[in-house]
Amino acid sequence: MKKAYIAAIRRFSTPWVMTLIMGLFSLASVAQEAELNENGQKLFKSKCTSCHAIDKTVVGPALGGVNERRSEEWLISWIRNSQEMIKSGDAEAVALYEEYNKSQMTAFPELSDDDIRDILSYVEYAENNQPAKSVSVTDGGEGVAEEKEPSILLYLGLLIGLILLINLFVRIKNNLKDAQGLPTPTLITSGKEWLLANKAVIVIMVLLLVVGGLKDTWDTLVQTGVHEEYQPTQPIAFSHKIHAGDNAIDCNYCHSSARHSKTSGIPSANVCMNCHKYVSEGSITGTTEIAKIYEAVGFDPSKGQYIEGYQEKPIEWVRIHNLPDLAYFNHSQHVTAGQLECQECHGPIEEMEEVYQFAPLTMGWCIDCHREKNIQPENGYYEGYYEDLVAKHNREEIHPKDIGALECGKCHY
Amino acid sequence: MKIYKNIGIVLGAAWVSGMVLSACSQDKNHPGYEYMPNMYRSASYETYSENPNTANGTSAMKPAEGSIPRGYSPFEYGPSNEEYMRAGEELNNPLEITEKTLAEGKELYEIFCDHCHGAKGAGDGQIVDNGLFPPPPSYADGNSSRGGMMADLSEGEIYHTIVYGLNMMGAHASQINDEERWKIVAYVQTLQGKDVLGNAMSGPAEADSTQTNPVQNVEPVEANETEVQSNEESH
Repeated sequence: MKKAYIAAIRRFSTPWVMTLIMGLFSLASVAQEAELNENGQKLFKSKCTSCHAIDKTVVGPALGGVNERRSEEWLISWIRNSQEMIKSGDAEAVALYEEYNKSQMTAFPELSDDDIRDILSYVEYAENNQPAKSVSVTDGGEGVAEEKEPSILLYLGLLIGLILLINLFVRIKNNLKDAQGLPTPTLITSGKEWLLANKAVIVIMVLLLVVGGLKDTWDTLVQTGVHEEYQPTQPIAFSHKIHAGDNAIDCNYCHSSARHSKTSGIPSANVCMNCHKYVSEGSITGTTEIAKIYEAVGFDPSKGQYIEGYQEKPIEWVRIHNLPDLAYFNHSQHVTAGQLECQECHGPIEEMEEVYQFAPLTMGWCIDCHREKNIQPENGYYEGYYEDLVAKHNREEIHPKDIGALECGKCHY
Repeated sequence: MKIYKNIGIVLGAAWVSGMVLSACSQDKNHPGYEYMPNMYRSASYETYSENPNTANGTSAMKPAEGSIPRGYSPFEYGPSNEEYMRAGEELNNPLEITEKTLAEGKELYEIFCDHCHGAKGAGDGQIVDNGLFPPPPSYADGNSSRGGMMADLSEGEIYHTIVYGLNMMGAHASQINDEERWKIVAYVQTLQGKDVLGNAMSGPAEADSTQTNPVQNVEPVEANETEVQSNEESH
């Protein structure tokens, strides 16, 4: 009780509280600005955020409300050297250490008492000035649902209505003509007469049909086995633009087997969790898509822990690039030995919200590259005979075709 | 007058046929047609294909417990803090550090570390810069959460952290193999401000550069030895 009393006095004697009170007497909006302790913010971001967040448990507990939970003296001593406190047998300290699986908190002997008070005041500020994220996300979601495109049924209804209307007018016209004793030719007979009078129209229409049909046939034949621009819907709306583009994560970080193996590999969910253990809310889809990873691996984001004994479920990604089984392709040969950028074959992946097949993956497309690209003599694979090739072809650039990349058996066997 | 009418008809017909053709355009979920699918589709089960013969219906399965892939060297240290200190004391980089090793280490660092730790290891990578992830401590002048300065971390300690992760950093053992980890360790040491060129396992320079760290760590390792064992049992 006495402790808390002293702490309260101390807290009220700190300069930032004085400025706060003065601020309150002036404009309210200005007061909020004045509350932010810049030194505290700087220290918090450089020393604390590796393990702590304000509103959720990360490695250590959520810090929101910590000033109410513990006395200031206790906090200063804990932050300066938590291990010492645990060893001295402080009941609160030992309980906390046990609760968080005996993970040690960094000791910060270099922080002065004032530094720590600054940090604590920043924590209080951050707690009171949190953006209300979750509310806006659900609002946005509903808004999107309402603006959905009208369904095909609506168009169908409009079309049927239009036909009925035309039918009605034709009947009225025919009834009027009948009343006057004029002949009432049907639509078909009048159309026939008109067509016979305009033979050019018949020729043009037949021509259009033939040309259109031929074009369609040609397109179908050329597109057979070429799945360019194939863009299937994936089980998780994963955006390569956000990950590889905005956040500049290297392709090989997730597709780490591309450098060593035939397949580039779909990252297993533990790779997702390297970041998403912490990042539980996406910028576009909120928590819905990231929750699918948690569902697959059995992670409880509210506790920040994996659920014990959980039956993991595979995420069934849809494969986009399906090279026919009759052709052999090896990623490591191109990525590691050939030093090609992923984008040369996969296109501007870092700009794609949803990935599509960029290259045609036809044999002609493969062969073009094998004729034009240069092999990489410094990668160690051509040691000993690169010089011979240079002498033989009398040029510095050795293309894959010079080392057998046009042979049928190189890819088909 | 008639010619205008005809032109009108032709344009109308073209418009209608265009509509019809575009209406037939592919569904984005349909890959397109295949000529002789039996030559396209693998008869054998591929890595990521469904497989009726396995318990969970996938071809990709976890290796049997205790199996060791070819070219893999087991890591004989646990994830606990005591094991970390033991690794820091005992482990040395088996690679000879040449300009080439460092260049390869840099390349790997840029793949696996750069987006959080930043190009110079100051904890200012792109993700941190975007405000999505808290900054890791700087290699050159940050504090380690396990005590001491980041700049004083030994090579074994860095290696251990790559394998198991720490705090906000996840385990990277599944993405980076043994040799690559050591290359990254060597490059990270240059970011700590150390001169590691020419260091080999038995080289004299290596003994000098790591001498100061293990000495600090000896005491707690011995004191906690019994605790390590009980920890392992409980796992």
